[in-house]
Amino acid sequence: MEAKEVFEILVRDHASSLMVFIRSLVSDKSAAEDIFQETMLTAWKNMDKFDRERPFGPWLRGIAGKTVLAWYRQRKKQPLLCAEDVIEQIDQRLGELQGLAGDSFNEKLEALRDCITRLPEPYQQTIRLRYNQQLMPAAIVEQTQTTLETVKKRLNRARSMLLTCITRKIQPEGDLT
Amino acid sequence: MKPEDAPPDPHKPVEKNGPEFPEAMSSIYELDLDEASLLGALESVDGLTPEQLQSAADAFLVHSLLLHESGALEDSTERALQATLSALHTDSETSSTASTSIMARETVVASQSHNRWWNRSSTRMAVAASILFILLTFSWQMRLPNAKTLLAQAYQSSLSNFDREYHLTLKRGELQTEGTIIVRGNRAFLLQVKSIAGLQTFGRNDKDYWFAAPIGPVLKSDSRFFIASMLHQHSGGLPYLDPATVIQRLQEGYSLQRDMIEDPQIERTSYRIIATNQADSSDFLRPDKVTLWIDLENSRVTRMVLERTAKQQGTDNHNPSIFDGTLSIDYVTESNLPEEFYQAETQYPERAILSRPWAAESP
Repeated sequence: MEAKEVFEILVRDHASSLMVFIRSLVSDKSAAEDIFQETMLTAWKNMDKFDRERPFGPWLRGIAGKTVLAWYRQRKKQPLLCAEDVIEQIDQRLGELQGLAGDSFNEKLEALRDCITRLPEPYQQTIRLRYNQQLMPAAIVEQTQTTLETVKKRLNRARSMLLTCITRKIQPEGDLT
Repeated sequence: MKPEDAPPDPHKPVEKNGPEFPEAMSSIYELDLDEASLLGALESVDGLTPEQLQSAADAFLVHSLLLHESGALEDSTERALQATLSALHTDSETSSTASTSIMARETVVASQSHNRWWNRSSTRMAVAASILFILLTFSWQMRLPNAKTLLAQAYQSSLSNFDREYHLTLKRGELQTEGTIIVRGNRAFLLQVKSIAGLQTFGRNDKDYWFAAPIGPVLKSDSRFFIASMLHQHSGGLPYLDPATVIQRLQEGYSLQRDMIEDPQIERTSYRIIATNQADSSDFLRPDKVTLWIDLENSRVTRMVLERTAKQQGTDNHNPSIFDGTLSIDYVTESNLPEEFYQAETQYPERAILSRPWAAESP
């Protein structure tokens, strides 16, 4: 199998988790796609520097983190305090998520699906309206007859509960990506 | 990820400036995460503690995971992926322009003469559908298979009628024992272990088990307990374990993780599976952790590392596949040996062979 074919398989296997990583840091959809492409092409050009006995995922996220910072600095033209720490933490969290059962990133997120079903009803409903139906908070207010502040608080609390729930499901070993 | 002390109480009213949401953080929580970016949000907040930073990062990560889960990132990911692959392929084509230039010119001429044909929308849609079909087929082929599929393929490969030689290394603290095993599927083996006294040889074929010490007659029996006993006494702790048997055990009760990695043993890209025992830890037949490398060209296992900590053993502690420590099984070569290779008479034609049917009673 040629290097390019191997790279292509790796790229496909890590595409979803890479996009999640980038979108955690950059909300702009087009920018995230550009950063994704630049990350992958940088990875391809630097394949000779990649220690192929090491997992591909963390290496790819390392490149993505640098690409995000470069993109951000280019736009804002000023250094951002703590950005490296934050990127490192998200990278670490995603690495830990790989310890969940399942082959693909999607299968590993079965844990998240299960955690959503365990949320108390008002929080579950708010999460479903916000993400599954892709309603913005103002539209959720109309659906649920609550206030905007309540919707925002529910969303934040629900995310916090989901993180706690996933954390409990993560096993101590198995970061392969 | 460290577990938090307790899950937040969803029914507890959240105070904007309360202890759970310090003032500095409230501005982050007030943001609609879809419109804000984490780095942008941090810019507007001064003096965050590491815990608050961590909390903010987690919130954005969960938001991103939820976007992915809802399918909101799907189009974006697919678009970026296709653009990346297209750039990669363009790179290939550019590098081989010289060799394909005639073909390229012919394509240009053909496309010019078929402009009218292409402009018909129904034809355009049909061609687009065909391209999509090819892309989908291609993308299916280029995906990394799941761990169970890889294990099943490796198992089938390990049952082949070829004779594969593996180098064995057992490490137990400072002690190291080495040996060689030649296996034909899970039906026949020849295991040789170096000891101070000389080479200890253990064999199995379709009919019986046998053992040859460095000197003396070859002992033979049709009992599994005989070979278990001989291994226990003479192998220096090395078990009889062929890749097929190991893979078979991994198919139940193990959590599997797989990736693609360079195998230093064969200097080629391989699939790697890490299997962690999830079943009853007191089952002494099951290694705690098994890492195996599978050649992606032919599904052959090229390397296995089995880790097993000492467990309380039951009455079957002479089981021939039991070991303690770290056992590495490294592929050496493959050949097509005659059936007789695994017989004691072939290996030791000059020695007397004693059949020991009584061995079954005294493991």
